[in-house]
Amino acid sequence: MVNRAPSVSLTNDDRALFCSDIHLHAAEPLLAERFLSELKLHSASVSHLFLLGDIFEAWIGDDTTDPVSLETLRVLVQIARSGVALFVMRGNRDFLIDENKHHGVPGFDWQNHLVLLDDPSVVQLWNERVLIGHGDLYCSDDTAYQHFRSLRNSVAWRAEFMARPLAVRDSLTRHMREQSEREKTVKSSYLVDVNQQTLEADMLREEVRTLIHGHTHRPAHHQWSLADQEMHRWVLPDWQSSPRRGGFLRVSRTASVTEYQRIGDWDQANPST
Amino acid sequence: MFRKLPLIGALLFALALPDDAVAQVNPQVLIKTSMGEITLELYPEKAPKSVANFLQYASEGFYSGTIFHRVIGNFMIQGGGHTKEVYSGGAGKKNTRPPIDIESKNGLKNDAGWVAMARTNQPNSATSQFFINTVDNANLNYPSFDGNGYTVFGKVIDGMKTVNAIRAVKTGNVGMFQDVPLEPVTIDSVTLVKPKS
Repeated sequence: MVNRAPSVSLTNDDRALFCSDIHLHAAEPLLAERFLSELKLHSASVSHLFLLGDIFEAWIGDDTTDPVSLETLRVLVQIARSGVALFVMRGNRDFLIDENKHHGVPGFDWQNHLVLLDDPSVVQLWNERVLIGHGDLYCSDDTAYQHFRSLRNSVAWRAEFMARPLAVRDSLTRHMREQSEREKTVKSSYLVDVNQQTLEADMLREEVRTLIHGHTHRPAHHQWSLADQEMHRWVLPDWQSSPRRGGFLRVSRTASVTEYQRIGDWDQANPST
Repeated sequence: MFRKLPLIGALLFALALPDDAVAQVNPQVLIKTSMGEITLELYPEKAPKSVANFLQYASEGFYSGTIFHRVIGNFMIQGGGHTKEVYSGGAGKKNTRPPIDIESKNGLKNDAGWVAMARTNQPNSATSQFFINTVDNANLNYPSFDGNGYTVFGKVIDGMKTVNAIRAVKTGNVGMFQDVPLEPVTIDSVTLVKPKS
């Protein structure tokens, strides 16, 4: 179930940057401008860049004509060409990334520029195996969503969706987004967060002590003990313009110690006293 | 509904309102600031503890001399807890009464012009500080990002012009705080007024 290939391994002076949940879309050009500018800035000092899903608010196909999506692709190609190893994972919003080729619809050729990772995957960060994922898989209490997730992952659903013209896919996607937003407002808090037992089962099976994911929009560094080991879960921040939020997790190794560093605005803006 | 309220809250309403209107009319308060006036309508049926708490502070004159110390134009304006001492490097935090229970699950939304209680990361921690939402902040509504959300207890019914003027002021780092108006915006008084409607 967990992807172990292609093997991704950081060694020596490598440095990695992780981010997710930017939810880029044409209606928020300023957010896109800010993200792409920060991405260019921070990716210049790393060897590996991992985008862990929901880069886009929606992905209707690799033949998209959305200007924000096209500009993002241009920047990603630029970063990859500069020598940064670029890895992209699909999220629950942009799950149709790289889908066109299976249905004979011409569009952006992802595999030509970067590596698409399965969700979840295990990567080797120096001496440690680390589990990375978008995160929606661990929201197992939300059975209705998990049902939809397995449905939309089916070949039949994807074939039927991709057989439609771009404009129809656009309209269908908008409808799905609206429905999702409506449901989010009535779903209980625990449904839209991860299930601890589910993620612990995955971590134990994969023999990892660290999990990095996004999706929940609850940025944090959780630490706890499990099977006599210290476990870590990094939840990446989502990006929003107002109030401003969004950032990266930078991972590097100095003097035999792996350092996890938050970059940007990780805190949820709130009226705290 | 007043049986649920602490005595002081009920007393304040009774003093301000004609007897026959008590059961029908929500209390209203006038906030006089250095940038103009704001009138709030409060909803004791939806947030009894928060309204009584706010009125208690108001009746004690607690808010006089406090400032809007956190202004994020496209988010909210927050005040009612610190004084101008913030501008001389201190915390300027006024001593409050004990915190109150959260009432965020009352159906009221953190939409533009609605007023809610500020708090720490603990749900039952609101004291005197409140904030006025300047945009629809759906992410602050129960259950929000932390499973609790923020208690909405009132609405601006007059003076959005003042709110919009405050949200537009220049802000920056002042002393130990961020997003502070560079020129102090003070709350001169908060008083219960006779409801206009």
